[in-house]
Amino acid sequence: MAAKMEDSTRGSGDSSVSSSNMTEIPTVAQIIERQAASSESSAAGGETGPPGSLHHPGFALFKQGAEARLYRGTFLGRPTVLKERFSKKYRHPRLDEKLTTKRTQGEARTVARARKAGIPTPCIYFVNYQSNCIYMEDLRCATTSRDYIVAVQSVGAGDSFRALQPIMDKIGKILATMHDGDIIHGDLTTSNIMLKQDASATDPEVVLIDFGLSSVSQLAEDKGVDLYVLEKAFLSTHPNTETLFRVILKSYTKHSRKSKDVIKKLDEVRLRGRKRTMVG
Amino acid sequence: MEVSTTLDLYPDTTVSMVLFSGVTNGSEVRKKIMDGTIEAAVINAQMICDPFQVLVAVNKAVHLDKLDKKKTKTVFGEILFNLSPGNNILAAYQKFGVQDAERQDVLVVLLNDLQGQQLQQVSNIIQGTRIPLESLRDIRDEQQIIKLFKISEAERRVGRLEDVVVCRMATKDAG
Repeated sequence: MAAKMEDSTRGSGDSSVSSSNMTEIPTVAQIIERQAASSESSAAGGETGPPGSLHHPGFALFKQGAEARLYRGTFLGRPTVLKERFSKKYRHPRLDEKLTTKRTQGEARTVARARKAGIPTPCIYFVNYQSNCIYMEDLRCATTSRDYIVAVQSVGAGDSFRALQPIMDKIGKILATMHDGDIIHGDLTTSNIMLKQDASATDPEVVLIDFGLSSVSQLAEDKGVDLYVLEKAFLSTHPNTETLFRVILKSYTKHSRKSKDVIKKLDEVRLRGRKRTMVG
Repeated sequence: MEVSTTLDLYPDTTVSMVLFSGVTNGSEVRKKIMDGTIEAAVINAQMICDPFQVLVAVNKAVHLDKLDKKKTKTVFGEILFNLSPGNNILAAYQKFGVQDAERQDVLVVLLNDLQGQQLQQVSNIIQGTRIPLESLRDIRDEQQIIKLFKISEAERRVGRLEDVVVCRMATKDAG
């Protein structure tokens, strides 16, 4: 009885891309391409979006958050994201105005500071302090690390760890550089950590976005909390990724000059189970 | 050779940019700017990375002009001021404005020159040759720009030089 052993690693003559995608781990570039293709087919809202977008001709609303609305459009020939902080009606108007402007200013300031430290962020083109609008670079050829991790994990292949590890490594390094520059992001989630890969690039690049809740601090406590926030967001969004997150921490420790105290605080915060210092 | 763009946020404003090479009468040009004969921003082309950078400076200048919140007296002065990394107006004019050199390359920025009349007038005064705007890339002095803006190696690696500079310009008054 001649048992024919099928060599499953040998590529079949029929190389239909769609079937191989089901078992192959996608690269970052592939995910970026997939998202670009699907956003083209579902035509963007255009100029007539919901009432909020009427006063931004040429920009279309694509996200509404608790603090700001995000629009996409073109500014001086460049693809641009417009972040508009809106007023909260329940606040006292004068206080509201001051607060909103302060947040906008703070975000611009921290982005400048982050870039000085070598952290890739979208380039800010223009800040309108009257309307609290920030016009910034629309990252082309990028996806969120959230989407990429989800895509890799959904394939269900055994070596998803190997595919994601180098990216976690890069993330850890960027966070180390950021904290060494005494910058606290304030809202670290996998949706705020972007992966960018141009056609010419061999490796994806980590880009941080949304510095709306950021601050400056030398305290290991604040940096520890920053990492804790990411850990909570990471583990809740991506189940069974404890080992993956550990790669981030390992890379952080390797690249940061002040990591020892920060990790110590992280452990303390984990035990406390809260985001705030327990004062008073 | 004359590139015109309309500002997305201020559609009533059209911006024209023209590049002049080998300008020999820099001092005369400066005099005519100061006495109001020339109503344009005449920029030291070596200090410009990319036309986009100039448009960003113009956009901010027009924005502040409309709010009457300019730091300088004219919208053209404001363009020069916006291009500069610091808050000293005189230093901005000295570094980014027309120089005292025997030969220099300048970028002229005009606003709402729909009939081309202003360009005609400026061309008659400036003693130099009009060259394509694309030549700006060859004229720019990267080392001088990096030195003036004090761009560290780490920051330089974040992206293209023009993006590093534009982001600095945009966040200058954020504190």
